[in-house]
Amino acid sequence: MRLGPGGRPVFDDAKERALMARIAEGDGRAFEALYEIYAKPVTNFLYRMCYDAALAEDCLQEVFMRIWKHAPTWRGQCKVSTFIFQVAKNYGLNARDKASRYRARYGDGHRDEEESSAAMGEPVAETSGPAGTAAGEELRSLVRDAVETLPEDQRVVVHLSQVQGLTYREIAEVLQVPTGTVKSRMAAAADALRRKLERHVRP
Amino acid sequence: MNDANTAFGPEACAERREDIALYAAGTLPLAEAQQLEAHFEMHPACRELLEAHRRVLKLVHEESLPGDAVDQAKVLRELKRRMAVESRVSLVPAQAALSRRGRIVWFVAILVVVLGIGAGIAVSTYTPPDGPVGPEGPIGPKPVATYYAPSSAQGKPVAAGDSIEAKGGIVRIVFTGGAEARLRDGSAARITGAKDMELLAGEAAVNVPASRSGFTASAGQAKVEVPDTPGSRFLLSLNQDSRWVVVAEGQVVVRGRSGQVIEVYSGASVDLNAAGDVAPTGTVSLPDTFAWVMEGRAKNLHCLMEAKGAEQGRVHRLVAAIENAGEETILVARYYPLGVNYQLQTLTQDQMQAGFSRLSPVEVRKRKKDGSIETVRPISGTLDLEPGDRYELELDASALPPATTSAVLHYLSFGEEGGGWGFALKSEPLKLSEPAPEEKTPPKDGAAKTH
Repeated sequence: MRLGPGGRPVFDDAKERALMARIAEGDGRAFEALYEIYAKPVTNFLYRMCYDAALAEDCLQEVFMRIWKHAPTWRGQCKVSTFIFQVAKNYGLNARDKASRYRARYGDGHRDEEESSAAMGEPVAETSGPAGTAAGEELRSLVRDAVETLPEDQRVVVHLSQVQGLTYREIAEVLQVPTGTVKSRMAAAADALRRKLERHVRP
Repeated sequence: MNDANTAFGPEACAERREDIALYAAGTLPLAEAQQLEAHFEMHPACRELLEAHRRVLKLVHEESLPGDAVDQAKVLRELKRRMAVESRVSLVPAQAALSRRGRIVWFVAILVVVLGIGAGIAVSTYTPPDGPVGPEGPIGPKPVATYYAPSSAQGKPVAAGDSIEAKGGIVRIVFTGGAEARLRDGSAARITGAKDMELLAGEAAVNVPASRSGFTASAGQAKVEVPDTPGSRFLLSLNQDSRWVVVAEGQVVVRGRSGQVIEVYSGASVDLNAAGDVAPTGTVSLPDTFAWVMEGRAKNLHCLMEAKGAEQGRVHRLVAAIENAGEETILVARYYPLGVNYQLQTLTQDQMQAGFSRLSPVEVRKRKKDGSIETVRPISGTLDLEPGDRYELELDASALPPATTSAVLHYLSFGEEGGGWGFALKSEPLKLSEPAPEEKTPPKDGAAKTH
């Protein structure tokens, strides 16, 4: 997978369409190639929806199973990346709801779902501490909490935009909402994140 | 919005805040971005706000995510195995590997219920008859052909109006509307749309996933419609001596020629006569009816149901279990504990108010042969049942209607939403609890107590 500016992935739609056509005919190698491209981005996307790495891994398998099964009926009306994230979004929401019901009913050892405490503590001097340092770990924890406590619709937009590098139009296709909605969600999310985190990242 | 506690909020221009956030995110349209850049020249506070946004979004982008930690090779191996058994197309190497492991693959599994009386634990068992092993081994019958209907851009499309005949085995039809039909060998159907088909002769098993309602299957002068239900699976027969529809899961609406409308639920059937009249026929044997769909998939499955404990004379917990009685590992594919489908028929004392209930599982576990209990994950995956292992689904029986005295588990499947094929069985109806002792003096006229 190529990476673009800022380390965001760059998806090659022409190449991926060719892979989808081969997958539709049952080409397992093409499926593996597509999996190679999308396994990590889809896992990360799913993780941002459920915040459970094991669940994200489970969902990854189901997402690609659906891609395999639905490839013959895919009409190519959108980019392959859009199609794949659409499948992931639909599946991730479903899985997240099931997991939430399960947790509500039985409880488990998952992390607390308390509100973010991004406002707590003193500023962390660095914008990103060296890996393994206490300051870096603390900042990462704050960022994770801040993102996790965003409303889900905003969190998904932030992830697709800032991590996956999708355009607003592509995000709108994935989420099946108007581009204006995507923009307003992004703006609201950016503002909420800034208010929670800016004190920790002052220059 | 109150930014009084931030360093940049109060000074930045309120009307530009949203644009600044979008600019920082890197996707403000070019013309607007240029305008904003000019604005930044004159408004340092807005520029500071922009920089704050950028610093924060950079952190978000850099947040460590688990994509690298996932064992992608392991997931891919599992995918290949499932691709082979789910038979959209055949992947010969993967299928060969599966055979080498000697596993029996299940899309679905079934349970039969035996319910105990009183405080004791009653256990009974049911072992399905060994079905003939399908032509491809223990996986079960595989379609000899798959069609995508209609007007699929890829795959093997068939146009509306085309007829399909199943020769030499089951033929699978995948509708772009989301449903799937399987034609029994010797059957024929006509494709009439993305959500429509007409059975011309023989039998068709139809699976309409949740949220894909609107499917209609015609048979002679009758129509079977699938309303908005969480998934419906039914079997339609149009043979000379037998014309009927049987519902395995969900519900359908059957419309007769002269306007009769009958709602049919799981386990029930409706007769369709040649004149187009329809009439309910009550419950049927789902295992017998669906035998050709599930042929070969019941080997080595040992099913049982326990009733656990009682309070005030009523059983309060049911444990439905599948036990692997064979010598090979059984693999329950596409396993979703919380998405499990089952139909529990409950009978009241007067035996006249039978109805189907769905009880939420209160616990899902795998009990190993050595007695240890393995935690069962709440979401998708596969379930390996080693010989002697059993999978248990514990149900809260206290949620049954108070007058329930007997129960029968008709149907249970493990499968993704709308996917897979149900394997249906029906237990013998057994008493759930003894009737409460009669405390009152019976009426002089001896009238029977009713509920």
